[in-house]
Amino acid sequence: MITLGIESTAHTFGIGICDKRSILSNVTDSYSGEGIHPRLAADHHARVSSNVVKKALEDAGLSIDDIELISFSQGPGLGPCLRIGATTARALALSRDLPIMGVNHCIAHIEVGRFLLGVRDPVTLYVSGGNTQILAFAGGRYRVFGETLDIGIGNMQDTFARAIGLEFPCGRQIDQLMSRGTKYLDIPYTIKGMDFSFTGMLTEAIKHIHGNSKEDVTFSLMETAFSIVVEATERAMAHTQKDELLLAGGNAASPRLREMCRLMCDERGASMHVPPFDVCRDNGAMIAVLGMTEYDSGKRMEMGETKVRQKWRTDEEDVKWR
Amino acid sequence: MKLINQGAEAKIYSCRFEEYFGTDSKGDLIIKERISKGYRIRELDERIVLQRTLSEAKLLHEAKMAGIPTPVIYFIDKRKHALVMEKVGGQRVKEELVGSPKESMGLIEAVGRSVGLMHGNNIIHGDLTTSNMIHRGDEVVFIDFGLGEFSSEVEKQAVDAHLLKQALKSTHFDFWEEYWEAFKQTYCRTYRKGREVLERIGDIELRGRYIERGE
Amino acid sequence: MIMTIEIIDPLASKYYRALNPEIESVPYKKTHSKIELLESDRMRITVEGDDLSAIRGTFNSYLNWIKIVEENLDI
Repeated sequence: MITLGIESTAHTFGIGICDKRSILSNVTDSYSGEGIHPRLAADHHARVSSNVVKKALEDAGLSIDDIELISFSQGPGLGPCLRIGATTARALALSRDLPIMGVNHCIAHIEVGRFLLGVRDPVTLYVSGGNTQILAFAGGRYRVFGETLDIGIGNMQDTFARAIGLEFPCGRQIDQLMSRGTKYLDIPYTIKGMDFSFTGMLTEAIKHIHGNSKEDVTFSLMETAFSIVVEATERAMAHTQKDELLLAGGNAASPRLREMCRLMCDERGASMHVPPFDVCRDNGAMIAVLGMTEYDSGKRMEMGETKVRQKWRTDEEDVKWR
Repeated sequence: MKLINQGAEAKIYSCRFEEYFGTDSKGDLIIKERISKGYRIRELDERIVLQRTLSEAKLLHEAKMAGIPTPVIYFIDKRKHALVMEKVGGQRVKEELVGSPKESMGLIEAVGRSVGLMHGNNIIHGDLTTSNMIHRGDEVVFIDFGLGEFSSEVEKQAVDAHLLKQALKSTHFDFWEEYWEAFKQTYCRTYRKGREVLERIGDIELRGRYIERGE
Repeated sequence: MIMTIEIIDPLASKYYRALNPEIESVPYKKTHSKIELLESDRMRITVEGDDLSAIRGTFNSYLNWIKIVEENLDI
């Protein structure tokens, strides 16, 4: 079943196309303003919507008439952004009278890893701007075993980057600064069971900026933040007795985070999996994959049920396809 | 000395009292030796491992003084980051909290009472999952205070209770709502500020999500 | 104040079907709005509110969505 997936939960608008076997195309266009302004990001998505669709079809060598299912990220995310994706989905479905499927963005990050990498039953560490969660399958649903109590690790990183005067987007610059730091400064290490929070360490790191090198502060902050999420992930793996780790989300690009996950998995005798970056970050292909998977399991959705769900929790969704 | 469990954070050994201390006393011991983590840089790792060992000992002791069943600590080995303590026999609450809520009510009520006592004495457990509670005889023994701290802040206590709620939700999903209700009842009965803490959980749950700016 | 826009277009019924599921979640809290399909080629958007710029914002959102629908119907 050739499926077109639409992602628009935050600052990335993405269209991906997949079939049973593989991803055929995956195009993204991101709002590049600083921070997240839902309305400005939504205006961006509205501007690029149909062009991104065309580009994705072109890359896959297909026309809209080849598409058999439209899938879109129905939540969770920013309302104005989600509505652009949902509206695009409805228009495409109506244009060729295609079935439509709204899917959960967080679950899509997991399912695309299972689809591409053959991971069976992983604990997923999902790290991005707005989300930092540890998810695993239990009792018919994807359940949240740990999550941030305040902001996502990506948000923390962006705020810190602004404080030291970096330009947005800053991921790579942070990675570089971090790798050059040598002196570990005292940063609070806040972990509560499998939950964690980042605002406390962010405040402390910002205080350290005066009188220390950017490299050392970045190194200390990011080492601490990553250690915390890796520790929480390890706890979740021990707790659920699972031996696969899937890393997902835009911040999964960080080489140091990957290294730490790998070391942790090696110590436990577990395996670690990271999809290629273009399906790790927010993207349409993962939405296509999950839509297709759900449709194949027999799930159907009416046009009237396609309203966006900004606060859709991962564990509200019964997983029928596993 | 026998390795009986290698957890995410510590190796647990079991041995006889006389084997460890060389004196004549009966009983089994547990040695909880914290593991250094290869993924953490050395400075950070050393700080965390030592600090957790010491703070766990202190919290276990204070909790016992407050009337919460906890294992007795016999010795702190700072060099090995190890605590030598009483071996608690029994089943983990994680395994016992499976039947219908009616059968398990007594257990979860005991948990509510003890957590109420903890918070009333400004003790934050820090990792309130049902794996860290052992059902022994007619009491529930609390272990693993390594992530705990002392605090009278409503916020910290609410995060602590929120952890338990999340653990019930993710691990005991069939009846978690009934368990949570029962917990809240006895928690509030033993802890004066219980209501306030439980209300704060609502605020915590709204964070960590997308929060829209603008209109 | 109540303002309306009527869209007369052969695709009006598709615009209507694409916009209708979202009708309760128009992002402007200061306005009430509704959409109606009067005939297969005639759709009406009604916005009610006291704040003129909020009304304009609401219409803008609708027109933005209609633009997306129109462009994507045409692919």
